[in-house]
Amino acid sequence: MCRKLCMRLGGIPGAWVGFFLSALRAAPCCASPPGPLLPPARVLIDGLVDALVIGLSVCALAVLLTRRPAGPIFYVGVWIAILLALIVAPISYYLIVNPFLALFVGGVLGALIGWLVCRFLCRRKLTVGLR
Amino acid sequence: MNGTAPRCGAQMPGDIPGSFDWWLFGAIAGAAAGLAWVYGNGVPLVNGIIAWLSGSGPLIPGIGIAASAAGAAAILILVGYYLFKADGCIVPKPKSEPVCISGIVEDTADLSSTAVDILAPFAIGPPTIFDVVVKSMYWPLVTNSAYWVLCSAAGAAMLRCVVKSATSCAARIGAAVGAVAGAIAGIALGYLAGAAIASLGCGPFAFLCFLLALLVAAIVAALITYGGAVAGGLVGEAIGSIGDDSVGDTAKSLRPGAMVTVRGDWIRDPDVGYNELFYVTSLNRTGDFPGNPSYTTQDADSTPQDDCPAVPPPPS
Repeated sequence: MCRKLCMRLGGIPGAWVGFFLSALRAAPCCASPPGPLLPPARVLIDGLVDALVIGLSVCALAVLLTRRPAGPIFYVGVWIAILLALIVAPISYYLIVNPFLALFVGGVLGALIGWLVCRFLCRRKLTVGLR
Repeated sequence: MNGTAPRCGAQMPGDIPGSFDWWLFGAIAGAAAGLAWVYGNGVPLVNGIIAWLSGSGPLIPGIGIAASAAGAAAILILVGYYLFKADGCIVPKPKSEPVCISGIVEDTADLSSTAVDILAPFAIGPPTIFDVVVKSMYWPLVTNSAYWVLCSAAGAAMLRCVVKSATSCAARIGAAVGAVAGAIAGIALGYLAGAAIASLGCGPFAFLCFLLALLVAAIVAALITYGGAVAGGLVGEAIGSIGDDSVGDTAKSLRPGAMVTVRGDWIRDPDVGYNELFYVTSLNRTGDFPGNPSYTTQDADSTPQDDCPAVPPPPS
């Protein structure tokens, strides 16, 4: 139960972060010629905004639908969002220029990150609600 | 007493084997492929709606419509996940066997939630579950192929009984219909909302604007699709609540200590590994056992003869 939920808390925002960050690079933007690559700090911030918006929305839905305590789910969700911004966002922006491939890769990486985060955190008292 | 009392708790070493989460990876792969197609072609019907709403020429497909479609797709997948649960609504239940048990109700739990009923009718689950301390003749139904044996505080083997929601299936079907209708409107409006933000330009913050436009397109589409799913689900729920639900009504009135005869479909719960009746098909309350929980198998065995077949069918 815990494993599935954690993989979903990571996989769904991971797919979105991959899609959006890769779209920033791949899609023609704003009727202007393609500019220089964004610096890594900007990519991380954009990734974090994405991951938090989507990740916390997914957490809210998870709380509603699974009726688990909100605290542990949001705690895990924030950790996953930070890791997604650090790992999936740069990979999607710099390495994968196809948003749809980035969606898939981001989703798989996100699921892996979610699984790893819970493997570490579920042993702790704080996430007792996820057990 | 018939045979040796079951050992409570884990029956086999190691974890309960869980099924691989095909839903997540299938949904991600499907969404990637579907959105790639939308990126190149737009969404039939929605293309025309966007052109009509914006009063401009035909839509040029691109990342805007793909972002909008991604928002709608997320909600459609969520609704589809609940719709296609293997509980006999659309997809048949896992292999089950009709059985009959009797004993004393140890405890009951009301799982109904007003928040879910209103905010997520597509996710309505069983309204009630109760645990029955079974007579010793029904022990095989508790232990056979189980990874876990539920026991009362007094150490008596119990079988969990899950009551089916009378409205769940109709609500899920209604939500699916509503979500599809909502998705059509949501993708069009999400695209236009995103396009409005993207057209601002935003000078040196163009990339941030672009990201915001994609997010807004997706979120608007997702919210409208979700609204459609909720509206459709509520309509389905209302239709599903017509008629009587004798099992549900009896289950709601159960209290610990009730002596019951329960018929239902016997399965092993794939998530938690214990055997249960999923769902209860008939529930007959035969009296009240004197005394408070927790109950023992001796208590259950001392209750009057039940109306199950004399010899329980051998579980496979």
